[in-house]
Amino acid sequence: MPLGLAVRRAASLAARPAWVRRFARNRLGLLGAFGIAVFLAVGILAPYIEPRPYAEFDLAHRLVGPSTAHLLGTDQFGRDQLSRILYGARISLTVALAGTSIGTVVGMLLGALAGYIGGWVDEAVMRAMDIVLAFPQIVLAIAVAALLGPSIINVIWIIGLLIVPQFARVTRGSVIAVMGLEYVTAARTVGQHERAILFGHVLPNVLGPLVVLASLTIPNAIITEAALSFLGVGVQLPTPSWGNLLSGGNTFLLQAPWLTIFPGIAITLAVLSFNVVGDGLRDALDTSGGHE
Amino acid sequence: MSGEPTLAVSDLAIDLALPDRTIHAVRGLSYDLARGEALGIVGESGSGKTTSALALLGLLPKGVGRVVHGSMRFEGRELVGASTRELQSVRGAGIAMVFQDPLASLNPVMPIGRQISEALGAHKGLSGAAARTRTIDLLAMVGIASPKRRVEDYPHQFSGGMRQRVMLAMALSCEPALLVADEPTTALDVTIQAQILDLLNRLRRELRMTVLIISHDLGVVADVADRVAVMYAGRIVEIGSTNEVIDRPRHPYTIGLLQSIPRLDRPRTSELSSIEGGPPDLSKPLRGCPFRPRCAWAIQRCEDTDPSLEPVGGGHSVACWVKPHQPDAVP
Amino acid sequence: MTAVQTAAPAVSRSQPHEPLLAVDGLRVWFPVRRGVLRRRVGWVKAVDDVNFHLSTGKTLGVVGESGAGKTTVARAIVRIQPITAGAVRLAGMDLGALHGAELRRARRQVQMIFQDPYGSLDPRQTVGDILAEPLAVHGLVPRVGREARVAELLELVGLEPDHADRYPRELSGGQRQRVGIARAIAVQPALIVCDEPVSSLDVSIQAQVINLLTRLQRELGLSYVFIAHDLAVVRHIADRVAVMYLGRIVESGPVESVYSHPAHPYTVALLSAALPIEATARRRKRIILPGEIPSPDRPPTGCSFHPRCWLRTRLGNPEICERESPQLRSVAGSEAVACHFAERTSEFDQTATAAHDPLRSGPSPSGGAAA
Repeated sequence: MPLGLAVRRAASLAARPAWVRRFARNRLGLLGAFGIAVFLAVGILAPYIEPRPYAEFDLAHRLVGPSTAHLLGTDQFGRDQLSRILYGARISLTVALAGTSIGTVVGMLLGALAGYIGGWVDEAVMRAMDIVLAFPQIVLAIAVAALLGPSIINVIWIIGLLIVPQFARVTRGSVIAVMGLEYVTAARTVGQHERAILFGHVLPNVLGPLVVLASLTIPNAIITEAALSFLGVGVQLPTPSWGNLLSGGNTFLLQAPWLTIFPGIAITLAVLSFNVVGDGLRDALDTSGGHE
Repeated sequence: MSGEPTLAVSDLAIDLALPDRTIHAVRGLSYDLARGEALGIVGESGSGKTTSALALLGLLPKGVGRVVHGSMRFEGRELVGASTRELQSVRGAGIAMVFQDPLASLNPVMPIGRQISEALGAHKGLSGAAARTRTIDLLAMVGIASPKRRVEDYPHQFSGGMRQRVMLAMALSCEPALLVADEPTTALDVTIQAQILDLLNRLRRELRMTVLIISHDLGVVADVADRVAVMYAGRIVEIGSTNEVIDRPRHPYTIGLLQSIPRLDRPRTSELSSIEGGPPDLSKPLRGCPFRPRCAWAIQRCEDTDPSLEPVGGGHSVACWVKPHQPDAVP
Repeated sequence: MTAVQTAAPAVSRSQPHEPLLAVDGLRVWFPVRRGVLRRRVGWVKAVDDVNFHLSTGKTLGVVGESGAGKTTVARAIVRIQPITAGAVRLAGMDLGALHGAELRRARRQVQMIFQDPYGSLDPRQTVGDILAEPLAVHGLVPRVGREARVAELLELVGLEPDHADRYPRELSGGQRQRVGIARAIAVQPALIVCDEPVSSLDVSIQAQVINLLTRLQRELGLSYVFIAHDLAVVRHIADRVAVMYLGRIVESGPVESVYSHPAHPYTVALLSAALPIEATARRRKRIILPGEIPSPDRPPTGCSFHPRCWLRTRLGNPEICERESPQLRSVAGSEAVACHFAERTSEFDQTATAAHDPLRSGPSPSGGAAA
């Protein structure tokens, strides 16, 4: 399957530990990778490691600050914040990763088509992207959420939608740039089929920077989800997401600041981790094979 | 000529610190450049010629290039370790530099007239009408037609050869004591290269400039320089007058180089003699003569000890234990 | 090695009287479009009416400067550049008439070596992958035999079999160019178009690669179209040479004859500008052409060289040069030259050619050359 060939070719980089070695030299990047690993683990294991069921009310201990019973305090219904944050990680990260994946794949396909085929296909796709980009992101998100109704699935679609134009543009640009490179011309000269050129030469060389871009887009997705949920058009209570935890804590900001601070810290740490890993990947993958 | 050489480089060593290794790009470079003289430095990639030129004006890439030891004295002033302010005062009016790619050296969003006037303002204190007049004169001097009109044009409106003339005009605007030209014609077409070299020679004569010309092209260097220094693996392996070095080379590398270039002035041969192998890896320590692995004349001593430059008469020096004569010497 | 040497070439050798490559009336014109509706307002004639033939086992050198159109000609021959008019025939077969699978099959017979050793190899492929690709595309070698054939090819171009596992970034410029050459010969073509194959290499490596190319030509019976701006390199490797200026051939003929008795003033100037190394040649006067190389989208009227032509100046600026574009014709001693006054070139040429003809060497007479 040609796509598999493309991924295998791109992953040929993985067979060479050079970029892994380079990445490993980046302390900050390693720290970020560790952070991501922690968050992912938390997200996956949330139902098993939460001290209390996240939806359980404990009316006797409402708005209690951090204590031995409730490590990160409780909210106005006595629900354990730590559990909600852990579960929120699961939700927020799932949404962010799923939305980014969808947006990335669709964006890449559209961009690759536009760049490779050119002509009116290129024009049509790019103008469609322009239309989406013309709307302020939050406004578009709210409008779509209003249309589709707030739910986790819809938030994923919305995030995907917001990401598509950016990836389409970058992919198209990369595809056009790579197609102008001599090794693509050389492949044609040798008699290679167009499809094999696209999947064997163009895509593998385009995927690298896109992987980096994707890893830097995930933090944006996390924040977008948080924003949407905060505004009430994203994940709906009682399902916790970091965003709606923030908005829930808003009302009690002075009395119970821990309701806002800890979700905020979680968001910040997750975003930082992805950012730092993305930077590290970009530096490590920068094997332009430069000559002195 | 006054006694003091315009430029005196002594045992210069420069390292380039890359993330995974350190390259000893220049390993003990020494030469003198007398006033009014034109010295050509010839070398291939990895010889260290451009690195050493960049070091003159403190243009080594920050954090990567570092002068490890040695000295560069310009008109008696030490350039190694000089502060930025001291270097500023040397740049322009003291040493001016022209590079290979004028498009990269010129500000694309500023008319070239203004760029030259800027230099005039900074170093000569000229401004307004005086600067403009001088700018137009300079453009005419470097052979740009309709200079009054062209003064307003942007770099992209000039062709490659024209841009190089503009670079020369800028370099000469402050009447530098030394002009350094690093591969000035490499990116140009052959007939345009002829124009630029002709211009360079003419300006050199008229303005009595001291010139350091650096190139991988022996032909270019032979056309401009009075003396030629051949660099290999970070140091000079042969130096002497142009006629001496080119017609009577004594270093195996120079000999090999001259024999491997297809010549218009020699009969066609069925095979070009070529130098086997490639340049050494300067990130690793070298033992003995760095050219030894590729040398047809190598003896045991070459493996143990790195030869230093030794005179062979007539101002000609060679860094080689064997100092062979070219097999089919030109009559 | 022996397997390769005796293997049959992709196309049967052409008859002795029929050229391997025949380029007739080749034109590559690019439309110039203006305005919102992208109307065509004119043409950039990158290649305008180029004709030449090449026999089996021979090398045609194509020289010229920027805008000459030589790279466009190269790409047109290899069919990666669409042609506006004219025909490129390989052993009688019109390459322009082929499409799809037929064209891909025909590609076995004409290959290309590129100028940039860094850009012409896919950084994500190992050397082995790069060389196996043409073998796989044309079904030349079954999968099991590919590794051995790749090793053979590497050996042919002077590399080690274990280079097959390396990536281009691990190789030097000269080594990468050898890989490019190996890729070109992998399909056993009859013709290889070399687009400035040594221009990006260090001088000492250039000689190695040039020697490799001449050796392969002998051993494999290859024919070359060799594009270069370096006249000395072309003289060394080519049997015939075509000099191009602004999309046209201005002079062509056997290389020794063109170089020693150039008939077109541009050829004279090119030879003059080629910097010599040898001492007496260094002292001679040179022809310095005035002005810039015109841009192909705004060519001069009549003879495209006339604004810079030193011969025209010497002859008192005859009007015909500005009015009428000269056709290629045969002039005493010269096979094909496009100049109205080609007969008078040698009369006025006191410069370049003297250099390498020992009978005529020496410092220039007082007349000097136009500057």
